[in-house]
Amino acid sequence: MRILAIETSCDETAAAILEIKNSYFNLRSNIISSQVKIHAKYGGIVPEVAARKQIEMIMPVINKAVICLPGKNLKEKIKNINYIAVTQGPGLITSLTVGVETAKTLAFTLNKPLFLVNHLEGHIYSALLNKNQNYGKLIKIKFPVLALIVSGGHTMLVLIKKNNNKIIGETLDDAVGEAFDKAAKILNLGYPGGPIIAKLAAKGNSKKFNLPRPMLKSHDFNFSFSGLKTALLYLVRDLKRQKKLSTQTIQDICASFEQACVDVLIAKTLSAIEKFKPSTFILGGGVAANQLLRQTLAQKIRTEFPKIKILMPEMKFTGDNAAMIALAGYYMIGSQIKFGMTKKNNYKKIKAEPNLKLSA
Amino acid sequence: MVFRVSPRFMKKYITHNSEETKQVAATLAKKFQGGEILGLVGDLGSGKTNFVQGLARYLGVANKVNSPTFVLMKPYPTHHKKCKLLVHIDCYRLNNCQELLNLGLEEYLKDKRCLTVIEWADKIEKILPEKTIWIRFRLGKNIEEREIKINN
Repeated sequence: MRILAIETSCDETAAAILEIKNSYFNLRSNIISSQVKIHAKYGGIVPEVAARKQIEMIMPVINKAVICLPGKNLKEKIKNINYIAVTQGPGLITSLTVGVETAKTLAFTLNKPLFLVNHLEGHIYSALLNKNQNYGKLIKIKFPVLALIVSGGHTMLVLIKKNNNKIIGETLDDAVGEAFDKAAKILNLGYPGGPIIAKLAAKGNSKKFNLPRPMLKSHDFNFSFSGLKTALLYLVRDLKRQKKLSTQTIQDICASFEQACVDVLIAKTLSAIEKFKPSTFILGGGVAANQLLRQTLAQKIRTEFPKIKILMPEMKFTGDNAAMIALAGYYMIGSQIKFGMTKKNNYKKIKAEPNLKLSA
Repeated sequence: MVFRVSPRFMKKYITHNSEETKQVAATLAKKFQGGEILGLVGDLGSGKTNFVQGLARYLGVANKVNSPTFVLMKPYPTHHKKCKLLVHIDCYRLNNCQELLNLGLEEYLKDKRCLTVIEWADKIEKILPEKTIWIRFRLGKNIEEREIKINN
């Protein structure tokens, strides 16, 4: 079967074609708007509004995604899909609406079933696409699964059983990706903060500055990154006043900050594993691209809980993408594991849900 | 940033921890009749989200109120008699007002059952009505201390 997936939950416009046959997958295309160059029709003036960008990008991105399909022209090619999957939420309402309305229209005119996927569920499934190639055998998941989702908008631990899932802990204030962005802002390093901080941290000493590890002793699985941000703010303010903010110092601050974030994420994950004893651990979301997090997490789980299978997404599937939405859609067709909504064919009632919850 | 109300109506608080910041929010919220708009202004880490969490607790919001930076706007149902909905908005990522207008900000601002709280409100000052209560946050001398100025 072939699934066309559309993902527009935030700034990226993405579409993918995923083919699945006898539990082998073949990702035929995986297009993200930043890869598609579009010449602005309005003399180069493109309003900096996410939703408007989405509207401009959505058709070119879908067109580029379906080019791989058999058929003489786009009209014939797009008829060769079997299902459509789209991100319904959570995310930015105006951006989500562009994807959902486009998917609805396509599903209606092509007469194909439409699946509404939870964006977070997509991030969980992204770990199953852990092949460097775009094809391979799909990994069979052993339940229960503990998933750590870390991105610019979310930081949560989810316990997934065969028929249900539960958020066992989440951030009480900032998401960890947001903390990286804001730390980069405090240090005047630019956006997005994650990759910049990680790069500078690699040259720094993580033990140089003693930043707090918030919520480490809270005896639950919730996170908080706001206090860490504030501690960083005061540290930078004081160093600036003393004119001690050299390049080396900035690198040391980045390393100390990254280490503090990673320490908290890992401590909470390990105590959740200890309590819930999952068979599989999955990492997902944009911050899953952080090497320190990936390596330390894998190493700690392997030493302390050697029986657990660890799944982490390939780097190219860590950020928002449509391949993961296609795969999540596939599991909605094939199995009883249902995270999101499965209302088929009832087009009038389908709409974007910016605050869509992962669990009931 | 220009405040529209003369300084003689200004109240100033110094808080010494996040709990005190939450209590300032609760004290202010006692007078609310619904339809209020709060414009929060202040640097990263100056206590804005904390203040909103204090409002949420006072209004009886059951959900976790965390940062809306990523999605711009999060509406929460409350258990308050008059303010039925707490609308938490964050303009940190915004480059212009249009996006918030697309999200239906104007309807929330006019709604008498809503309490609309806007972080980084100075970015959209020109579309906020005259009655907006401006609250300014400043970092204090030490890491826990905050200065909060309320104009209403």
